[in-house]
Amino acid sequence: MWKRKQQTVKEMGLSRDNVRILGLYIVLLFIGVFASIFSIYFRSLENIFNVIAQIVPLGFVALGQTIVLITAGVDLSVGGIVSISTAICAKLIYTKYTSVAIAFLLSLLFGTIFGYINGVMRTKLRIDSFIATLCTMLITQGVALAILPRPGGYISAELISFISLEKGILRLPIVYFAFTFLVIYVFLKYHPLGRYFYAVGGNSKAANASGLNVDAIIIKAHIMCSILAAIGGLFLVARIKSGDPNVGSPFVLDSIVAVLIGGTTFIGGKGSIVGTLAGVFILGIISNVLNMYGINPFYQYIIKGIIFVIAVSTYRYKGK
Amino acid sequence: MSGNSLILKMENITKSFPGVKALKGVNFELRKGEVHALVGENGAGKTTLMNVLNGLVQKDSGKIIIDGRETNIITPSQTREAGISFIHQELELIPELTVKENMLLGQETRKGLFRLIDWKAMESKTRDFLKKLDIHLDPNEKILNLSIAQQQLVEIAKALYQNARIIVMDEPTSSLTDEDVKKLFKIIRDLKNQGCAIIYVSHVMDEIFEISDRITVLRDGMYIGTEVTKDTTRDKIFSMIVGKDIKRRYIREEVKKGNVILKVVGLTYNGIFQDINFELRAGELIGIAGLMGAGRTELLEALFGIIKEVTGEIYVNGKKVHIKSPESAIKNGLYYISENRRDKGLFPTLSVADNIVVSSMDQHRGLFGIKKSSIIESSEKLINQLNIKTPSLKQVLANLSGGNQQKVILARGIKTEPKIIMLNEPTRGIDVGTKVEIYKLLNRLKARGLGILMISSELPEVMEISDKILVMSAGKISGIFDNISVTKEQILSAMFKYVEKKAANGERNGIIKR
Repeated sequence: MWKRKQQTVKEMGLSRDNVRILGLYIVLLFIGVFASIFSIYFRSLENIFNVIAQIVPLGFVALGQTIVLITAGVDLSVGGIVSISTAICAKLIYTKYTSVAIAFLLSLLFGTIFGYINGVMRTKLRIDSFIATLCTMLITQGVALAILPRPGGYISAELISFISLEKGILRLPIVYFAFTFLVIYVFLKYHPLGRYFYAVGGNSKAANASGLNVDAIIIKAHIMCSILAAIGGLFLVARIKSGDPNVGSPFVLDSIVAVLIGGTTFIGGKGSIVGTLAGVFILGIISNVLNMYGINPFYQYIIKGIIFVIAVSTYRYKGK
Repeated sequence: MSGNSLILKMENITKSFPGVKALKGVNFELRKGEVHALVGENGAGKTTLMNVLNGLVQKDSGKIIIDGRETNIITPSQTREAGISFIHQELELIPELTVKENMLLGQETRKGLFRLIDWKAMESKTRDFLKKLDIHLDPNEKILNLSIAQQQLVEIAKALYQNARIIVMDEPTSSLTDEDVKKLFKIIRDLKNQGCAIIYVSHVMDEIFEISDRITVLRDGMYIGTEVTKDTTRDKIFSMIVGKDIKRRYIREEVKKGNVILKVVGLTYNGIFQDINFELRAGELIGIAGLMGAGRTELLEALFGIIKEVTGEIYVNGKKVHIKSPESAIKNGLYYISENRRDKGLFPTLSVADNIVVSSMDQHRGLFGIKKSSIIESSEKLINQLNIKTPSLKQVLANLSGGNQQKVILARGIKTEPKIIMLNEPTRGIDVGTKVEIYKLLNRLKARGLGILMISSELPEVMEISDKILVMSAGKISGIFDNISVTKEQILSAMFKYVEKKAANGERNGIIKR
């Protein structure tokens, strides 16, 4: 009888990690309630959707970051890739739809290439992912500046309305993000490659001994991460309607913080994008409220740092 | 033995690592349907030879011939294709994944348009296979929630699932209970009858003589010889392993016992152990026996302050002490050497000297920081005393053999000048020669007036080295015996004393769910 009951609890998926994620969403709910008390932005559904649409770019980047952290790596080059996307779009998009297609494809191509480079450095050259992506962080930053030395360019909203449309309560970026989120959720849970990310992050020696091609798996994880960062950049363009070679920098830390708040660890082998989503929301809503009140960005950094410490310290890191 | 056909032949294999010649022209052959034991001291080259076969290590020269064809194995997946599977000594499982995922890693069942994983099918496959092996485990449990014994069962099941023709078992029983070992042997016999060939790497002579058909001995990376098990004797094999005759393996020396130095009264750790009472005298070694999950490790961890949520009283030298942390335990004269050397005991990247002095740095503090000369001096003394084989004090610990690493950890404990040393499975995975050295060392420590508590799952070891034997069963002390008068049967029945009820509820085999 008792055993049966325990099993159903397990079937509901309420392991310790899941309880934590549930707790995270309760915290999120509280923050939402507070925000709606203190901020006029949070009093209508439309405005709430506005805020969510604003955090979509970070959402994409953080999804990719989650994948890399699951494989026990980290990607510091996501910010540069976001910047490259905005720079390419600002440079290439003029009044023709073909220019949009070329700019978007080129952005994704850049993402793929840098993801591949990150993965190869980590696997074939045996460079720690922190160092490897520190190098590509510099390189991507340089590429973005080379393409677009100064912020500028104007991208007509009409041309990119297929990703940026906001009408009534419909926010297309949110729809795209929700779809991507679902695909990756299913992928990580039900696709062998998704499971291999966990396997490689949990114990790469064991994965190798089980006949998995560890290097190929890690390279694929980095490619996915960089493509997602490039997509994040495209959605950022859809918001700011111009290019900026430095606009991606904050995404590096913000994405890592969101992922860590969500319960994915640097140790690798565990983590979920459901947690990451909560992390992104918490970060996004807090900075929105702080901006609303015109809090100096310097203090915002301090507040974010403190929130981060509180969130991460509630985890018990279980060493291997 | 069914037929004499050769299935695997390793010829003249050599392998050098920087500074070490690990294999010097080793030969090994395996016939269809035989269990071939591979023995030798730690560092003799067994694991290296098996890693060559697995593709984890590349040989320098020599031939691997499988089914009469020379095969070049470069990666583990090629080994798999050749029909060889491995049960690793260091458990090669992924902690965050479930039993079923670990077992079917790399060969998931997939379905549908997107070739996604069919979790239902994975579960039922795993469940059926475990049932066939008579292993009672939940396919949906994460590996990190399993005990080491349970993990070892998963590792075994995983290797068997590959349907291999050659199965390499590297110390497969190191954390199994007797009951599980019996099951494993039944599985091995079944596999043999089906024509599988098994390479069985082990230190445990009882097992080797029970299960193997032939025995190949390596020493110092050299091939010493191959014997047919039923035509040879233990003494012969021992002398091949060591290179000289050893008559007696276990030696207990009686020393004069002093005062009670450790007294434990009513120690309780909720749900794990209850009402533990015993006394330890100076110059006495108490062996702690019990099944997996009896609470032995937790008892020592509580005495050492690793587990803090305990009630009861602890007296050292008649004085009541409060042990809040390992640091305070060391101050009170206790030292604990844990079971899991790799995870809890070693600093693999630090030097031998650093590893020895790390718990007793205070002794070497000078006016301007650490006095290097005194560290070198006292480490050298201990290295000689314990006969630790290392090229230099500066050698990185990871490069030492398992037995020597264990001695380094012992040296670290001795250096804190404890009154009481607590050891958890100090000889697990260690070769016979080093074992004897460790026993001698324990005798010397006793003679110096130390009290020793030692957990061991090898019953002969407990019986031959201990002055007293404390048996735990399901968290309670089920007997404290004087070594001279006790019989194996008495200890065994005490070990099972309080678990019988649980067994009736379906939790058999000493596998107790955490």
